[in-house]
Amino acid sequence: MEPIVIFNQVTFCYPHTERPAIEEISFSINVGEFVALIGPTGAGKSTLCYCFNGVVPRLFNGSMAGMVTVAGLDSYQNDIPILAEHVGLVVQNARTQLFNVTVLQEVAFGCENLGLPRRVIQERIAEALDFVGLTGFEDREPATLSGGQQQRVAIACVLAMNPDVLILDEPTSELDPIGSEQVMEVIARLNKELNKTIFLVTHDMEFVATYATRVLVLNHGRLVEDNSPEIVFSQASLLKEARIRPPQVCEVMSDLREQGYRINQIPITLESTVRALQELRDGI
Amino acid sequence: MESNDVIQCARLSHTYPNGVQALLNIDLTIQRGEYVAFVGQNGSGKTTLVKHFNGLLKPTEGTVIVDGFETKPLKVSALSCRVGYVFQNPDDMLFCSSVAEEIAYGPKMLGQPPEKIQQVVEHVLAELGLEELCEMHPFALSLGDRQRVAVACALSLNPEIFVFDEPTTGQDYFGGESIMHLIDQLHAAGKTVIFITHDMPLVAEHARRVIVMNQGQIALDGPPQEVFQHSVLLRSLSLRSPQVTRLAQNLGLSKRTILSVKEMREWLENEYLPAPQAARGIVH
Repeated sequence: MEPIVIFNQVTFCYPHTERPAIEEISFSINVGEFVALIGPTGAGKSTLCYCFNGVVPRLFNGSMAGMVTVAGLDSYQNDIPILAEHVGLVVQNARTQLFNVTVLQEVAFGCENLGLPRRVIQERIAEALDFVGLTGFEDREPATLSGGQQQRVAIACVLAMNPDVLILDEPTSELDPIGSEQVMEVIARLNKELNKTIFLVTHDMEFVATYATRVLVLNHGRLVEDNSPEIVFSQASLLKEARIRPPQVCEVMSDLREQGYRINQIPITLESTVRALQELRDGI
Repeated sequence: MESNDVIQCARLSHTYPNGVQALLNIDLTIQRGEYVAFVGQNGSGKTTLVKHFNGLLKPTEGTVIVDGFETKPLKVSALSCRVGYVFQNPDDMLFCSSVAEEIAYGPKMLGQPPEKIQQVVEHVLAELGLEELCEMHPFALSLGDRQRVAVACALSLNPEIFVFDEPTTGQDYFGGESIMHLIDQLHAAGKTVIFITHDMPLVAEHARRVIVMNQGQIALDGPPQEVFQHSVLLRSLSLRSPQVTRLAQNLGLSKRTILSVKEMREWLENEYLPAPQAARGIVH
């Protein structure tokens, strides 16, 4: 089957800058994958996110080379509203995305712009709010919700438009730890239960280790690694170069391996580390 | 008489004009030279509380005494040379057209003579390693550098107390560490340091005292070793101990709290695991 997303030698340069924000980016994503994009601040992660739905280069002027295809549509040839039916973007700060008086109007907004019939919109709103755990919040004013709830409203807005691919640009960076976990659980369920393709940008490596099946590493605008989280988090020099600190459990296990303990594969989650250490203690 | 209590809140309550009660009966004393982290879920009152420390907000009930002065009758400017406040988003406080002007702004507003101002600017630029950027426009700098300029502005008035609201949000790991290094240095120089964060490993590795806020009240207050022991309680307050702390708890360590990767590795090597040779088992 054709990949749902194809980046082919994509380079983008903002106006009045010499160095491209992203350079010669090539990768493809299959339907149902959960991909995490990691890298230092200024690496070009957000610019890359804006390429999926045509915001780069259509709204952000600049010079672009290469081609992005989403659901078979060339993002340069197709208007943003057409692309919006296939790819949804949730930005870092939900507040900048929410502007309606009630949650209901907010979630309806995208669907209305797609020109869907009233009955379908009502169904979609109910389903989307149920999915993110905010049924009953229809009449609330988005600004009065907690940060985590606002972020889940933003996800519901995108979900209601029923795209194949969801791009989430640091959706938890301003949330408290449990609010973050709840948002991540929703994203994981979108992937598992609805088979949505997920493209997540985050600085939280514990989340990457727990949820992603594939990790892209971006540094200085270039893709420097594309691999499983296990392999990415076992490469100390690559991580250091890209200013990424792996989950604490990876650091502990890498240190132990250097001390001579027999650890073949560095575990990346808390649960797998507990098991590995118990086995090491019991000499299994 | 010089007191060691630099901040004293007595039955402090704050109700916003819209009726939201953000703080409720807070009794709190912070001593000179303390290094305090405020944590808690979004909306728990952290920012409202620390804004009382420099007079940005005044109690609607109770009193706040900073460095011996009750804040209620004071203007914000009167406290600005005692308390340096660094906003979460540096762009909320930067507005001059060069880094040097930005740093000079505070002393200028307090009417200091030009020679003195020049001296202060040079000293602060050197202190933060910003000499090369002094003619740059703040908005041409990276987020990390803008964050350093914001710290420089607070330093220019040489206050005794520093308040940082989420100083590392939006930074990658190394960017965050370099800001925390600056903050550590202020603490080492005898300043009183107060910061707000959602990053629990940061709290565990830097702060000496952790205050957990919940619904406008103080839920826990103690050294990180003590606070992070309460895993279940923390979870109910929407917080999560660092991953290594949870790892140690999952391995059955209950008599003390592991706070860093280094402590974890030492405990594993010295107490939990057999020596590496033995752990290698009978592999050839």
